[in-house]
Order: sequence, then structure tokens, then C-alpha cells
Amino acid sequence: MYYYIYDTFLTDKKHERTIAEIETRLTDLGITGKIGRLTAFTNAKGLIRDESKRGAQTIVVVGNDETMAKVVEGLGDAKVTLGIIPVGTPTSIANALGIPDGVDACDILSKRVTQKIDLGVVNGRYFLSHLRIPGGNVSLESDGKYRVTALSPDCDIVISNLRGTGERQETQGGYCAGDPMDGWLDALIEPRPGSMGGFRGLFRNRHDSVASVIPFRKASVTSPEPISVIADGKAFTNDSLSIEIVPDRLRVITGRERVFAA
Amino acid sequence: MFQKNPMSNRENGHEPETIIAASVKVEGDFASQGNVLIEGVVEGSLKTESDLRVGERARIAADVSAQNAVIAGEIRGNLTVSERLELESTARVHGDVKTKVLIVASGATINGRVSMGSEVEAKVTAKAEDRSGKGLRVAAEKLRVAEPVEKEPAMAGEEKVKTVNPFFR
Repeated sequence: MYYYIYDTFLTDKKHERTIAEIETRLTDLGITGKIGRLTAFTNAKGLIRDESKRGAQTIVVVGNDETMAKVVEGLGDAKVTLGIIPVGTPTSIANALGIPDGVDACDILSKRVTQKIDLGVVNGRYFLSHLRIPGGNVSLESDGKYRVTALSPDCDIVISNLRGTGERQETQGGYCAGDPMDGWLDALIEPRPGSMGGFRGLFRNRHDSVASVIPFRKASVTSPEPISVIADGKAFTNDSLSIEIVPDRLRVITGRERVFAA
Repeated sequence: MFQKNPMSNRENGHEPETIIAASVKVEGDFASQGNVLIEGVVEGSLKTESDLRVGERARIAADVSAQNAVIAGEIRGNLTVSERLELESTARVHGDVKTKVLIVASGATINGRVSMGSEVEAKVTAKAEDRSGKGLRVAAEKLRVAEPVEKEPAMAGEEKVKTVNPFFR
């Protein structure tokens, strides 16, 4: 049984035709279902909770990366399969799962090729793709065993669970960061985009542009100042972050062009 | 030493690999099951069950343990490599070295004891996280040198500085 969650912005006229095409295609494929809409008064958590009690086994996100972030955050303990029909921008999470934009996503949905992937948890809330933490005076402590600090203020820390398309970060030994099926989160400490240019860039060694890759299962991020975080495109601020991996937490419908292997 | 493989991590059974870039500092007891590349700063202890590469700009103030290692930077601490250790010309090791096979390029520096031979058995036991939750401890249970490669007469008062280099006998 399919349950479709539409984001608020889809009521915009510019998406009208795309939505109509999608709904027609879903009817042709025989995978229509009930529709729920995110509004100022309804959130994903409540919708998922209610519909999974009523027997919905597949939740389909219709929207962009932010819609996906809202739904993943609201999963709670629900054991459902997640699909996505990307509409709007950005849609990097859907692309990383191998789901094309618009109507073509319906065919992927009907094939129901699923993978069990890891989810990250930050301060009790799930994230699927990554966290971005601006650098500066921030340190990452892994399981109380060791602490990692960026020596340069021009670095960002990216906690990656699912890498984007075109972001393959592979070590010489073949280990690939951002694999959502390996049971690890990867802390990438990388120069901030644009920080290598200008006057200071003239004196930078090429080694400074290499990102650090630090796999971990559980870590905390601390800073003397409040930490601004962007989790799957959603921004929030907190005094400290507690981050861990939940292996094999979510079953998702994927396409052949996904960035990770089965 | 580092093999390329295009398959996913889980398919390979790949252990995660770590890169510490030049602009990063690690403090504490760092342990990994996979390959490690260090270009930055490490203080505390550093252990891997696989291969270790220390870049030319790396500065390590820690006891280091690995299966195989290629060193081009600076290590202040003891270095224990169960299989093969290669010191490049820019390597500077201030501490004792224990390994089975040692390759030293011209220009490398070792200030400490070197123990090696055809049978160097190093059992490194990694304990699980201890009850106090203070992290991994690496204990060398047993180290036995069967046949030293070179024997030099020890002179009274002289610090033992030994480099194994076939071109200087």
C-alpha cells in the first residue's frame, strides 16, 4: 500500500503540469495511493505515524531534498519502505539514490528495487545524506578515544552517510567515503569552497586542498560557540552535537544509477 | 601497498580507510583496522592492523604500530611494524624501531634501537574498550628476535645507533 507525501511548494502553478503527469503515470502503473500534504499544521512525523498504523508499507516522498529531510527526520520507529519522486530543486539525494527527476521516477518506483541503507542520527534526529558543519573552532571527538581538530579556520566538517553524484571520495586503497551500506559515517574535513582562491591561495600548497577522511560510528562535535549545522539541507543550531550511525535502518527504493553498489 | 578496487566497501569487505590531511590534528588513542595515511599531526598513540603511510609533512608524537609502513615524515615515539617497514629519505624516527623487514633510503634518520630479524614475532593485542570507557589500549604481549641481521660490538658509553643499509658494512 502506497502513501504519497506532497510538499507544500507543489501547490505552485509551475509544478501543476509535472504533478498531473506523475499522477497519470502512477495510475497507468497501478501504484496509486492515498495522498498526504505537508502544511503548516501537519508534519511528516504525524502523517507517517498515522498511515503506517493504517497499513501503509511504502511512503513516497514527492518533492525535493528538503522534503526528503523532513520525512526522514519524522520516521521515528516506523518500519516502512521509502521511495521518492523528485520534483523541484535541489534533488541531489534522489539522484544519489539513482532516481531521475519527474515522471521517469514513477517507473523506478514500480520496479521496487530496494536496498537497506544506514541512517545517521544527530542529537536524536535522523539524517540520510550528510551534515555540514562550518569549521573554525570546532573539534570532533570519536567515542572518547581521540579528538580531531582542523588547524585551519577555512575548513568545513562534512559528516557523510550518502555521497552525492560526482562526489566520489576514494582513498588509494579503494575505500569510498559516503557509502550508505557500510555501517560507517565518514567525517570529511575539507577546505571551504572558495577558500583556496585570492591572495592566500597563492601561498597554499597543493596538499592543503586534500580532504581528510575519518570513518567513525559514534562521535561528538564540540565548540566554545553555538554550532550551526545543515542536515540534509535543513539548518539548525546547537551547543554540541552527538552523532552516530544506525546501520541498515531504512529500506529505500533505488535506481540503477545510484552512487553505491548493492 | 594500497590496492585500487572499484567495488563497494561492503562487497570488498573493505575496512574503512583513514586520511589525516596536512591541516588536521589528531590527539588521543587512534586505532583503525584499515589503511591509514597521515599528512598532518598526531599526538598520543597510533595503531592500525593494516598499512600505514606517513607523509613528508607529517609530525607524529606517538607510539606507532602497523602491519606494513612507509615513513617519509617525522615520528617521535616507538615504531612497531609486524611485517615490512620502509623509511624514505626524508624520514626521521626518534624512538625504537621493531620490524621484520627494514628498508632504509639514504638520508633517513633513526635515533633509537632497531630490532629485527628473520623471525620477529610481535603479538599485539587490542583490548576492547575498557570498562572505564577511556579507549583502546595496545599491549605488546610478546616480542622475540630470533636472529639479528647485524651484530655490532657495543662500546661503553656509546648510544646504540644502528641503521641497516647494505651499502655501508
